[in-house]
Formats: sequence, C-alpha cells, structure tokens
Amino acid sequence: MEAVLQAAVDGFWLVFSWPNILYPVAGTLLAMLISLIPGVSGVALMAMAIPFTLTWDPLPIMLLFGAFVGGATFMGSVTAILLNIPGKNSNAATLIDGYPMAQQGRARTAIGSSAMASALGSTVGLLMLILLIPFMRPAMLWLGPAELLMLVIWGLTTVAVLARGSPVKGLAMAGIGCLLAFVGLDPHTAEPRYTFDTLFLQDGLKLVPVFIGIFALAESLELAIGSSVSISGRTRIAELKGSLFEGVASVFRHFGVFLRCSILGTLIGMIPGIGGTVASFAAYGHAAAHSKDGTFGRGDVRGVIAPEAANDAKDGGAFVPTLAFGIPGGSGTAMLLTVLTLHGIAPGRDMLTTHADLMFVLIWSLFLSNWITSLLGMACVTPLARVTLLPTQRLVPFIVVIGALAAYLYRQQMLDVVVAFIFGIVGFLLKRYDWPRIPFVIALILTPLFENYLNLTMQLQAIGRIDFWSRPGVLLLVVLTVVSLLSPHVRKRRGGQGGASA
Amino acid sequence: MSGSGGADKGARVRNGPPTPRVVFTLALLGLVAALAVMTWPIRSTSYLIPAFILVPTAVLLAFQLCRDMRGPRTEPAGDDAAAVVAAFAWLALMPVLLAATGLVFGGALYTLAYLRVRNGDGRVLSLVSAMVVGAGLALVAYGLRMPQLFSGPFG
Repeated sequence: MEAVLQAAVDGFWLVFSWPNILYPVAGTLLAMLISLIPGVSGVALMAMAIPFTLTWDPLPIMLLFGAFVGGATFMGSVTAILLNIPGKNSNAATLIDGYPMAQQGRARTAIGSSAMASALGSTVGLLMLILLIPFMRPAMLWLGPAELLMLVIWGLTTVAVLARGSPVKGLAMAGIGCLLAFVGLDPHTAEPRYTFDTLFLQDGLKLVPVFIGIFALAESLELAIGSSVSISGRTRIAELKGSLFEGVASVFRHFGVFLRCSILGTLIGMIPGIGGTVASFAAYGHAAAHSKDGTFGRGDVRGVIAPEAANDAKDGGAFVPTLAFGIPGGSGTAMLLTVLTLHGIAPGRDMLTTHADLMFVLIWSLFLSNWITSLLGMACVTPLARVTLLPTQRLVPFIVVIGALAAYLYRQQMLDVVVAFIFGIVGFLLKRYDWPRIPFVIALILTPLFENYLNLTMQLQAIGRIDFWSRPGVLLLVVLTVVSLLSPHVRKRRGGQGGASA
Repeated sequence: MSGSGGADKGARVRNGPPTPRVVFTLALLGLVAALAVMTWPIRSTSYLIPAFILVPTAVLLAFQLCRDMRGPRTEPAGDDAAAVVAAFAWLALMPVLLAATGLVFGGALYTLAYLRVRNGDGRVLSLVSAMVVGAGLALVAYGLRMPQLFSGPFG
C-alpha cells in the first residue's frame, strides 16, 4: 500500500508540473469540443489522435488520453438537459429530469448540479480506484457470469420501480423493449430474429439512433405542434428560475444520493462490457426507488445528480479491469488499451508495479480533465441556459438536423437516420398517449446482457462448472434484488407516497 | 417523467368510434402479434427467451386495451390532427432531403425550408441560419476528418 501511495504522489507531480499540465488541458478542451456534437464520443477523438501520437513518449500519451476519457464525459449531459438530445447513450438517464428542469426555467440549476456531480463523482471513482488497487485480482475473480446475470436482473427491477405510476403500461413497454432488443442475430446460435431478411437489421437496433428518435426527435415534434414560446416558456434570462449556486449546493444537500450513486457507478464501471449507460440508469433507478416523494421524472434535481455522478464515477471503476487485467471496461478504455499496447506498456502486473507512476499519471490526468470540464461548464452556465429562451419554432430544424447528424455519425449508415426518425414518431405517440418511455429504454439496454449471461450461466451449470445457488455473490445479489423490489412498498406503507411516474 | 405526462392536462372526453388512444394501443398489440408470428419459424433455442417475454407482454397490452375501451375516452387537449400530420410530414422531409442531397446540403436545405416556408421567417434570417447549419455540417465532415458523410446520389 505504501508503494501505491508513493506512486500516486509521483504521478500527481508529473501531471501538475510545467509543461506536462498543458497536455491534459489541451486534451480536455479538444474532448469537450468534440463531445458537444451529439453522437460523437471521446473514442472517436482517441481514434483520430492515435496516428499523430505514435512517436510520442509514454508520459504525454498518458496525459493526453487520460484527458480524452474524462473530457468527453460531461458535455453530453448539457445537450440532454437543454435540448433533450443525449450526447451519448450514458447521458440518456440525465434527460429524464434534466429536460423537465429546463422546461421549468431551471436549466442553470440542472447544469450546475450536473457539473458538480460529475466532478465529485469522478473524484469518488478515482479514490475508490486507488483504494481498490491492492484488491483488484480477488474482486475481479469474484464476478462470474452467474453474478453478472443477477446484477442485470437487479438492474431490470428498476423497471418495476419506474413503472409505479402506471404499472401495466410500464411493464408492457419494458416487454416491447425486450422484444426489440432481440432484433438481429442471436449471439449464441447466430440465428436471425425479427430481421425481415435484411442485412442492416442483422446487427440489431442500435441504441444511439433509438435514443435520438425517442427523445430528441419526439421532442422536436412536440415543440413543432405546441404553442410554447421557448423550451422554458420564457423569453428573458431574468425570468429564469434557479441558479448555478443552487445546482452546486443541491449536490451537497443530497450528498447521500450522490455518494451512493457514485459508488454504484464505480462498481458497475469495474465490470467489463456493462458500461456507463447501465451505470447511469441503475443509479437513476436507485435514486427514484429511494425517494419518498413522487417528483422523479418531473424535474427533480436528484434525477440529474444520480446518473451524472454514476456516469463519471464509472470511469475510475473502468480503469480497474483495464489496468489490472487488460480487460477494457468500455469503448473508451478499449481504445486506451490499444494505445498502451502500441507503446509497449502491457497492462496487468507490470502496470501495477514497474509502471505504477505512469498508471497514476493516467488517473490524475482523468481527475484533472473531469474538473476542468465541470468548471468550464459552470462558467458557461448562463450562456448555455439561453438556449432554453430561443423561440421554439426556430429551434426545431436545428434539433432535427443535429439529431439526424448524431444518428448518422454513430456508424455512418443512412438507415440509422431512418430508424431515428421512425422512433421519433413512435416516441411522440408514446408521450402523447401516456406510455412511459423509460422502461422501454432500460429493457432495450439490459436485455442483450441478460440473454448473454443467462446463456453462459446455463451452459456452465449444465456442464457442472458452477452451482448457481451456492455462490455467495449470487445470493447477495438475490437479496439486493428482493430488497430493491420491496423497499418502495415498505416505505410507502410507512407513510411516504413513493416514487416516479414513468 | 419525460416519458409521459403532458397529455393529462386538459384532456377532453369523447364518445363514439375508437379514439386514437385505443388505436395506438391496438397498434402496439399488433406489433407484438407480428413479432409472435415471426418467432414461430425460429429454430434452435433462439425463440425461447423471446417467446417467454411475448406472452406476458401481449396479456398486458390486451388488458390495457380493455381498459382504454371501457374507460372514459379521453384524448389530449388540442390534439389537432392536421397539425400533427403536418409535423410528421415536416419531420419526414429531413431523411428525404438527406437521401437526395446528402447530409451537408440536406441539413442546410431543411433548415432553410423549415424557417422560410413553415415558420414564415425572413429571407435573410433563413438563409443565414441555413448557411450556419451547412458550415457546421461541413466542418464536422471535412474539418474534423470525421468519416465521410453521406453525400447523396449526386455527391
């Protein structure tokens, strides 16, 4: 542990010394700029930067790429809050309460709370990473397909929590979400399902175009038909409610929610292949399940704090399997792994011993970039909030164009744009006739993971490699699932009104 | 939640033929029925989990359909069918323009058409907005060395 702390101090001074600090600052600004285009992530920037950095030393590489990972995380929430366009999949949970806050004229509070939750969330994630380094190996070996299956089932229980407003509609939408998640080739038998014999659908319905359609384009239709003068219904900045300070203070006012969701985000980030989208939705579901009032989904600031804290904290968690075993936790860390390998730095034992200072350079660079993005976001909060004052009818074509661009850029397929527009109309109709969209989205995200881990678990059980019910991790997660399903009812009986109306 | 609400305010009650709300629930049930038909020919074990989810989903939708048909036939206030159809048509114009002229020109043309024709904004404002959108898309396409944007059949 002493060696780890020494490496942490060495890494800190390497990052915060001149001229090294220029790399993370420049990298953060670049990542922020790129990630303002919805659908374009820090991964695209990393891919573009690889050829230019091939001849560099490992130190500036670590400084720059750490900043790329952190710099791109926060900005997606800004478009989610202001325009109902999630910058990335992982920001989709933020818009559930962030956009209603903007509609109420509280965009500054929403952005302030999002920025502070992001910065502090990433700090919690990194602190947990430093603390967990000595325990990485046993922690990773503890997680098998059976535990991951139970974890996904735990995530799916958030549907039940979010559907409390109208359970029949909520569960039916979750069912439809599950069914549409099966579109494509079965990952285990390679048999096509619901593909209409088209090559395009064999790859399945991708989340980005679906999210763009069901949230952003549906909202553009709502704005086009509605009579509101602006998103916030106001025309002057002085008429807006809330403030940056209120947003920042709300994170400390709801510190328990923030801390729990940060820890949850870090733990989910540690699991390879799960990613930020699951982390942010799981955190949102957790916060909604533990709320006593029914304000979630109607502009509750906790609905912004929870997913943003988890989304940024998961980066710290995602570094655990990446650095310890060379298993990327997500697309960003996969790209990082490629860069490390190109420069002859092998993750694993070497990374934790010989290159421990370099590992901490990466960690501190990520820390610095997360804070830079959040502080810049806070500095620009008033100009950003002005977007909610723009005349609605003039905003509509821009939302439509940005939505089409984001859907296209995801994998450069025109059919993705068509999918986004179809889901735009579907999303509009769902909203109009009071069908909740969030259970649908959660089911769409989690079903492929559920099916994959279920198949793996059943195969391992069949050949006697595991005994599902004798694994302590599984039993712990079963208990957690039951508790999360029952706790809202218990709270309700004790006098609260309970949860969200999805 | 952003996924619902909004439509409750000022709902009006109708009698007579099936309301759009009922038709929409019926359409969702139709989708699930279509997926059920498509599940039938799937061989191997690939159909098991979808089939397991199809049944309760269909039951829930049928239950909701009964509720919609028996309950008061409320429709969102201000549900002007012509305005909704017009909004759909304007939204559908975007992919059509994109397919015909590519992303850069399509985006700019859509902005120009929407502001000038639908909104009735001034020529200068519409043109400048379209040029800004076109320049932004061109910057993404060429300046940032993004993967090539779709340039349409003539591009």
